[in-house]
Amino acid sequence: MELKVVLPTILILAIGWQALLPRLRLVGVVAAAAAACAASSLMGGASTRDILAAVPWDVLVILVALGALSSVLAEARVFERIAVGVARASRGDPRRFYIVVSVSMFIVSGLVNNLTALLLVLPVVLVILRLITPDQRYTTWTLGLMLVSCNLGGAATPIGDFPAILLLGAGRMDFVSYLSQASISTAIALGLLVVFVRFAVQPAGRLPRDELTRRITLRVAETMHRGVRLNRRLAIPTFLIAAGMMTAWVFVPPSTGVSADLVAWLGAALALVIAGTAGERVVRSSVDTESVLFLLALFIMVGAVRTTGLFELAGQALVSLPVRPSVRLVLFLVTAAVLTGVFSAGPSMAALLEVAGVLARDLEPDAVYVGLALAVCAGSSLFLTAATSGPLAQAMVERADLRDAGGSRLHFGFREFLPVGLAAFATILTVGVVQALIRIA
Amino acid sequence: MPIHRPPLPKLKDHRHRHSLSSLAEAADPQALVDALLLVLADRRDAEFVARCIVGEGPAHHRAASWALLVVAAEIAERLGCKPGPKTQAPDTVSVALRLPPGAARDDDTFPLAMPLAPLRAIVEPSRHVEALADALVDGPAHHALANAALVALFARILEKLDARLPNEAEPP
Amino acid sequence: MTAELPLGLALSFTVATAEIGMFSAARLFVEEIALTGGRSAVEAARDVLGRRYAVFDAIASQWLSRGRIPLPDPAEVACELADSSRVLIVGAESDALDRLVPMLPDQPIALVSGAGGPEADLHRVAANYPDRIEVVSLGKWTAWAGSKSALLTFVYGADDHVANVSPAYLRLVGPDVRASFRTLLGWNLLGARPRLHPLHLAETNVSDFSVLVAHGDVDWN
Repeated sequence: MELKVVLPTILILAIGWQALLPRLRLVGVVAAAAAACAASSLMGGASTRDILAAVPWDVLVILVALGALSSVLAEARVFERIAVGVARASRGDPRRFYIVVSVSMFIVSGLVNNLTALLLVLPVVLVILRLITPDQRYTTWTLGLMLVSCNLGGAATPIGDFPAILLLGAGRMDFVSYLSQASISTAIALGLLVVFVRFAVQPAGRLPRDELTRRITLRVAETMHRGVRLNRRLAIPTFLIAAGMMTAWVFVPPSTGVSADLVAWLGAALALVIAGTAGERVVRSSVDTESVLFLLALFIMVGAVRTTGLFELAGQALVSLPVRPSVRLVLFLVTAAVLTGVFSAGPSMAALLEVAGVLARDLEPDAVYVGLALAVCAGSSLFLTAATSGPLAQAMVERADLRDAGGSRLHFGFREFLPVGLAAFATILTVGVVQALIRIA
Repeated sequence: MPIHRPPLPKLKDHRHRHSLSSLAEAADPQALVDALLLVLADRRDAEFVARCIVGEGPAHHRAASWALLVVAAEIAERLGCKPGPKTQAPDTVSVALRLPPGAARDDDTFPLAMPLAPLRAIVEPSRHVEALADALVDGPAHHALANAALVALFARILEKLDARLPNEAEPP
Repeated sequence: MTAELPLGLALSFTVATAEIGMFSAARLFVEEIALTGGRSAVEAARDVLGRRYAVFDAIASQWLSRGRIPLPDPAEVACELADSSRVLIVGAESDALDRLVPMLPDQPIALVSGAGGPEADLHRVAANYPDRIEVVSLGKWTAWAGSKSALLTFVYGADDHVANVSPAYLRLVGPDVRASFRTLLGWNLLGARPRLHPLHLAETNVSDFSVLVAHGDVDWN
């Protein structure tokens, strides 16, 4: 059997495994990566050393560095303050609450690791939901919109989430180009979604307008955080460092040798040193080992498949389709979105970026890459299982034991999320395709 | 309707003549606190030790310990002992809080330490004194504390007797 | 006139009790109900919530009879704890803790978690007292025991014999624990026992506390 068959088979089996058995996804992909290295080494392909050398370590460095920065901000109680801000801005009114939550999470996720943000803001959101005593419709659309906003925020900036970090780290796009295009597109997608939910879905339509519940919700939320203070000693230096990192990403050209990963590494290291014991705690216990291992295993498998030339072949096949370039691009983006919906963002982005590279030779590269980032974002938002934050949110909601005013239990699972996912998928993908087509027109 | 109670079996010994509640009633904690103030300087420490002695353990232990300690205090007082002892003598063993072994702290012993002087008065080699001390402060907290408190009261009684006997001794 | 109350009021109250404590939640709810609906709304809420939450019934009754709900006075509690080397607390009553913690500037203070019952994320509760309160799991109580240590819990009404406490307190206070803390302090936030049986609370003997500090009294009329 040829390597061209064995290695892609291992990759597809691993991707299928992690999609079907999310509880065993890490052991599955780590074992599959080892199998890919063994197969390649023993069957005359690239050695393990060569495959490891081709891993985009810069991406992993950026991912870990930004995660550490987010954790320092968490230590400084930034996210609790955000949660209080959300409660105050919504004034305890369910008609404002879901909009304030989604816009806040969009902004926060663009700047910090969206899993960290979700982990720290969602518990407070759930308490407020329990105080509101919503119905199933309100619960579904509030939490669904929140998750989609996290995905959109992650795609809005080059540092928000893994797909965008991959583009920045791999040098496919520079910081400013990505930010200027993706932030506008994602903001438009969020705006369209919020307008759709507000006027077409009307999730709060069946909730009574009740001044007492509104007042109690706001007061309990404020009382819960009455003494939580921003740790300025941690927060101010970290914010300054983050601003410095962004300035460096914008103004320092890679030709100077100061690459994006070096900026991230230096910035995070400085923030951790300044944080002192809190920094040490973050390094010891808050580094997202799961994400790093998962992506490392995927990079190894994708790297092994790349040595067989299969991605090049797939790209060439796409390029040689007898259709107009714009149709090719649309086909690619739609396929990318669907594949992401099924297999999740990490594996899809890692594999499709190789194919996108071939497309970008003939088409405007920025259109292809930003389009791909939005397509992956659309796919991540299609099913609750498509992004890491989905199952996490589901577990947290189940634990929170949400109930409606009559005492019936409220759920937030795959089935409940689906209408939100379909609306988000259609909206984000449409925005992504339109912006790509405008770009290449 | 009157409640029918089967007659209690006639017993030859004294057991079951009195209910547990009457035992508890007899053992007034305040009297024990006053007794302990002969060997402890701090009232709150005395209240803590008293609570452990008459608030925990089997009812017969609580009442028995209470009776012995209050009688011993009565003897001490009749001999002229006053509450508010000076700082505890150096020749004592501490009674440890019943905590699993862990980080050493300076407050993992009860405020009452057991003086060894009364034991030294009855046995000679030091290792025998230590063995007896070990036995006295072993067991459940209420047990060990009652023993330690009784020995501490004996110590005060012996001190008083030692101080009085030479003066009161009549010529042969 | 019967005041209209939201259908989900009882559920909201359940959430609030876990987050800020039963007494504090009852006080907050009564104040807000009074502000939005006046006396008739408080009476209606007492009928609706009071049956399930005797503490709410007590607080609402107090407001109805006196027109106000006094905040817990920590002076006597602080005095009792003044020479304690450390204080372990079962229960998180925000109204009481907000006043007590500043009066114990030198003592380490911890909240016990995992003792059962409705319990918020206590780390979130402790974040309101930066660098003052830590959270310890039930099994770690030994690290807080000592000959000068104090164990504090909130009492929701007591008479000469029986006190109402959180069931979590009974999970912790076994004979071994009682003999390992010099002070077992009950802080009575209600005064007399509620006129209704408190379904969510447990009864314990008053004599199990070394000190029971009373706070006011409730007028049931």
